[in-house]
Amino acid sequence: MSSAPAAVPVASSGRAQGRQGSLEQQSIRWLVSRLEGVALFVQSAWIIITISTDNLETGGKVFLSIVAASHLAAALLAATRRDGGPSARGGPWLVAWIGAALLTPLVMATLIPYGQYGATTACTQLCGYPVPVIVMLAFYPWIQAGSPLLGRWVTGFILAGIVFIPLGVIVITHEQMAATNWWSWFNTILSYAGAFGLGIAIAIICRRAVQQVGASYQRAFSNYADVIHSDVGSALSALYLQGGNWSIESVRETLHDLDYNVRSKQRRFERSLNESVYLADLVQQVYLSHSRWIKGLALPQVGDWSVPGHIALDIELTLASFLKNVLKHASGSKARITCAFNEGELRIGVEDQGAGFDPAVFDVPDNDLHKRRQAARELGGDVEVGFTDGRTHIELVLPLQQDANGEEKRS
Amino acid sequence: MTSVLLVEDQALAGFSARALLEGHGMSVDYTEDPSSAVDMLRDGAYDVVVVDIHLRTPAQTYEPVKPLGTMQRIRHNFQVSGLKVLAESERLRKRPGRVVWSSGEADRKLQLAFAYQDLRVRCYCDKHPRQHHVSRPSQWELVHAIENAEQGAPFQSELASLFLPPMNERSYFSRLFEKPAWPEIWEALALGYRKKTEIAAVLGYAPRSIRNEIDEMLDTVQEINPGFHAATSARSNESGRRNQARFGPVAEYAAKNQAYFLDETVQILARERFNR
Repeated sequence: MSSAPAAVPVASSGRAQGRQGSLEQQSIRWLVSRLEGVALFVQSAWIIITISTDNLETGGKVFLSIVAASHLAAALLAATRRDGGPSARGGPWLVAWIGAALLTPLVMATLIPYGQYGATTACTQLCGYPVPVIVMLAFYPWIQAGSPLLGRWVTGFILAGIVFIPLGVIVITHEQMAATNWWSWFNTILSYAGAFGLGIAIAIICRRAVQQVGASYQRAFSNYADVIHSDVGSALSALYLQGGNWSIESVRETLHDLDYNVRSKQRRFERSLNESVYLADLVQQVYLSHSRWIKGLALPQVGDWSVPGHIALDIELTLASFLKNVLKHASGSKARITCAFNEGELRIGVEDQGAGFDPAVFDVPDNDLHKRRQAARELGGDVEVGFTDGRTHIELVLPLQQDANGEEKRS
Repeated sequence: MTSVLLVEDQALAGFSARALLEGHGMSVDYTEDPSSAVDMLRDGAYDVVVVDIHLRTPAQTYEPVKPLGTMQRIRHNFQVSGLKVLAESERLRKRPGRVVWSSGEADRKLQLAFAYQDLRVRCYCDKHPRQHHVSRPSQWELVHAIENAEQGAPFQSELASLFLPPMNERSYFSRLFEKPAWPEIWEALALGYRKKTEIAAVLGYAPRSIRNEIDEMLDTVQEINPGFHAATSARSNESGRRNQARFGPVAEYAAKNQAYFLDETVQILARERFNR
């Protein structure tokens, strides 16, 4: 047994398993928290610009530093929480955040005299505070997340109020409304409308993405249910074909077939979701498919061993191909499935006491073994054949890891 | 007449197995509860005990709180399984023959390995009837497993051998619980704790020591199950954080084998190794 250093791009998608019902809601919360994180970070950056460029007194700088720090903390919280940001479920936090952000321009206009703004003009700087909130105000109702407080009517009411914020800022800082001030007010409202449109656009994109993910899982589960239903239908048909002459034995056989078919489909479906697959389950499937024809097939003890999900199907198909080969070339002889992990490689194969076969079959393009060897080589492995003491050993060798570019480590 | 104690939670399976064994001239007592089974073994002299590993009855209070992250370490009880009967029967003066009757489901493989490697049970019978697909009927397997167990001879049904650990492997149990802190760390991971700081806080260790233990535990997982390690470490590596790359596969191994790491018998014997 050997170690298997990690490194591979493995097909993985099992995280959503078993939680399809709440997948959409979880994804929305995740999106909300990330967007809130960005919005809060933008706001904190805006405040830090004010601190560093405006001509503020010490008290004002301390106050704004606390505000910026609280925004940064909230941004971190939003970005790291799995189940939604601070306001994903509404509550007083949301109201406090929106209220504070909307009132900030008016408070700042009162506190900082005209002519002491560093970075931009007074209105541009002060009226920038509500922009992230406006984006979120558009985003929440459209994505149907967050507090019921932010229904569309309430949002509209708040937006109507927002229209007067730049007006208030201009009146406080300029103490009059000249023609240029009206033009400045109009531009600010246009930018608010743009921010609102941006929020809606983000929400629509997010919602569609989430719905598509949910729909793809739904389709996968529906397909699985259809397949299972088809198996049940086949079992019933098999019974009806007997024209009512049912015996306990025939019903039992049919139910066993149904049990086997459903289990094998279930496992194939699980393999498509899982990162790792138990070797015992995989070998069992192949064994059950062939045990009618190959008597006395000995199985290995593999216990807890697993293989990466992305090579499971190849292993199953190759092992099945080996057993067909045993049936063809070594009919009646004893055979056993072998399995081992060696130096980062999985070796799984079949050993029999048959007459052996011509290795040239590997070079016949239509031959199943040729196809399986090609598939193994594409995964960085190979199919090896050995003849010792009257026994033939055919073995699939697969590396357990690939390098970061997906290139195989085995040459 | 061979006297058999059957420990099985599925009424239909228990009923049919009892009928089958009585049809073969055996006397059968049947219970669903492993604790009762232990008392019955002490009171009565049975030749053979047939045990299912996963028993629904004692797990009923456990299952509703089982989903990861919903259990608190201080409030949960360990899960009682058929391993309790196997372990207790080993301590009896007149030790009965032991047969494990299991379907080898995914989350039971480490428990089967424990029975095989540490409790030295040598008779295994596949529970699922697959007589349509295999050369011998499963009833034959159960009867012969009991006969072999009574005579002290090994028996493995055709499919049961698949679920047993490879021959000559060092005990998984001794490797997975190699150091004194590991039983508790595996327990916390199986309960759903997913941060080193949380585990450190709940167990009373320093976070750095948890990190070192996790590093060694990962090496063990890699030795025991290189394929699982290759599959899970790939995704953990994608996160780009070394800590996650080491922690992720160990946490997933604990989650995948939750029934084993929260098994009462396994945890008690693991702690007994270090007298804790």
